[in-house]
Amino acid sequence: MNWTDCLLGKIAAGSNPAQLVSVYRQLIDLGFSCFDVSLPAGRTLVQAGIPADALRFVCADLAQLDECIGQGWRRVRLTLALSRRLQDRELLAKIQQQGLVVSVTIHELSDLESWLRQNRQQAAIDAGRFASLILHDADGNWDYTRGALVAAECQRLLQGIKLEFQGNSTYQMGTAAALGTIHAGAATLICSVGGAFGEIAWEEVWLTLSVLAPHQRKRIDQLVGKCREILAMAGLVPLLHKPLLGDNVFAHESGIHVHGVLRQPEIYEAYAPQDIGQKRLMTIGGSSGRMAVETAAALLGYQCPAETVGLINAQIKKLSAAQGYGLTRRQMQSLFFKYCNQRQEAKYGSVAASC
Amino acid sequence: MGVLRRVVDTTLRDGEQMPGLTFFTNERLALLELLKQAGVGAVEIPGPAIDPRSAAPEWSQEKQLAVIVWNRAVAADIELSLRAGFRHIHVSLPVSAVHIEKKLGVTFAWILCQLETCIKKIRVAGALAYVGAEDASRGSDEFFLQYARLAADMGAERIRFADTVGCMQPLEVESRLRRLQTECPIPIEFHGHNDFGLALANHLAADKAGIHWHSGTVRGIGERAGNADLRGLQHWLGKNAQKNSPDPGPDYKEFSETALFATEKIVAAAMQRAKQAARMPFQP
Repeated sequence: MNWTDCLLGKIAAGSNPAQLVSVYRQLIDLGFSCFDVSLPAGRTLVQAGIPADALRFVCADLAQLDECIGQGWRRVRLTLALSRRLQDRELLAKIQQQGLVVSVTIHELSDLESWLRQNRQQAAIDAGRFASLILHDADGNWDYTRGALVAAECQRLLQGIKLEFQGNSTYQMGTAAALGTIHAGAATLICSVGGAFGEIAWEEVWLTLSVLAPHQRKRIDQLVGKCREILAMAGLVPLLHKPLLGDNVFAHESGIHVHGVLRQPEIYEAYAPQDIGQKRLMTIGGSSGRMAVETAAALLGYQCPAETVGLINAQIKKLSAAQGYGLTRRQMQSLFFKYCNQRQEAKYGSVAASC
Repeated sequence: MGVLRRVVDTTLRDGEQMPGLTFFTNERLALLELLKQAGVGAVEIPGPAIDPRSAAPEWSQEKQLAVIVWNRAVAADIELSLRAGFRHIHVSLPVSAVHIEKKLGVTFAWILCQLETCIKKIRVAGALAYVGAEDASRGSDEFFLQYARLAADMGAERIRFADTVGCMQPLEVESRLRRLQTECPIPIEFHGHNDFGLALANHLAADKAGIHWHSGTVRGIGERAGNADLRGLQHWLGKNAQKNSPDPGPDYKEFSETALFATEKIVAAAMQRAKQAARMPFQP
């Protein structure tokens, strides 16, 4: 599977060269091999020291294509508007003469069909000149079957063409649409870490593919750390419950869940947190049960006598309802200090608690 | 009536289990009112044994909307809910080997026996019973159907197929639920989680398989990576309805955008507060 990033180009304008190189390196570490960028962003990135060969320049018109030729940038992507002009013999000749590595974009099958309608045989020959055909669901309205249908039809119409897919997560269907398209033969996914800027979230697709093919599974211990760092440079913070990246993804509060995870993590975990560099966390609040209270007390160095656990839990629920969030570390310590008289050495002397 | 009429909103139960998050009492009541206006089919809340605030009469005496009270399969919990005056009682038991054997340390036969006892208690009291099949996605279809048939025989209204750890994929959901819904004697509700970012796709797949009921939460909040987002459900279930019928009429179009937006504002504020709760690393 090949991954093309579309985040680096979007942060180019507001970042300094060192930051851009750092994000570029992190993305390479995660497995990205190509970067889709607009021409202004591309100029900035090349000036920052990022090799032009790693970039694919998105051209919206002939002037931009000419600029790429002038700069010696060979890898280009034609937007839908420019792709629609591919019947233009002059344009095709230019692409061929200059030895450009061109990717063509379509938004719907009708785009491809109208191209083929002009001259089926010639279009098929032309298609052979292109590096790839990009299926771009610009509105996020493709469901999990649509991408697969379009990809299969494209392969039928243009045998041997390399397919790429770029989705959109506006309606939260991007990951499923990407998986459908990949199963139907798309070899490259154009996406961004964390689903930044409404693109498909790279890590969600990566995780699902890893789970589907465990023998090919590549563990990325620092996946979450790297992704968060990249997003931070783009000024973005993942939501608490963002799959893989959110602070809550391996956090548990409800009594039933904490109890289950303490017995065997797989009861409430679909995969292990350490596989992606996450941590298993616990919060104490309105949904907590007895075992969570006892565990939290032990973590903070207290042992609750059995008869006090119910009382402490009732206090936790009351406090949590009154302040509208779970307890802070200080609040927990104060409760345990009041009701638990046996103090042990804290299991986590420096508990990495947020408060 | 919009497509949300087919959705059980569990923002106040599964949603509030989001680590660190707690709604103020006035927010809970406001959410109930707004969800009613948004047109959801039912609202699910935790039983009084889990959250004493559910014992307040506003919940059990709600007349316009079914308030379903969620319970563990524990006789004392169900009694508390019945005593508080609830008429719609949900009882949850796991149906996968990993949950039955490793979490509860019991047998499959025990689960069936417990299900029978709990539904009987609810039905004798004259209330409606809804059953949850926790971790059904990792369990066998055969046991799910055995469990469902018993629930139906005992008079349960509906069974929830829970993808508890969010590990299913849309094509699998579609094929499994298509088969199950033809053999299941009572309506199935699909309950997805978002651990792989596929919750909404799985709900759409369930809908395509003919599943009528869905559960979700405002902004997709919930344990870990959360549940299916209510607005997303509205979008995809609506689109699917439109596809199946060229003019779905008021079903898709008439829902209260204002009310849904207001629920999202409340939830966003609670999520912001939730960041203040301490998160402690722990190991089994």
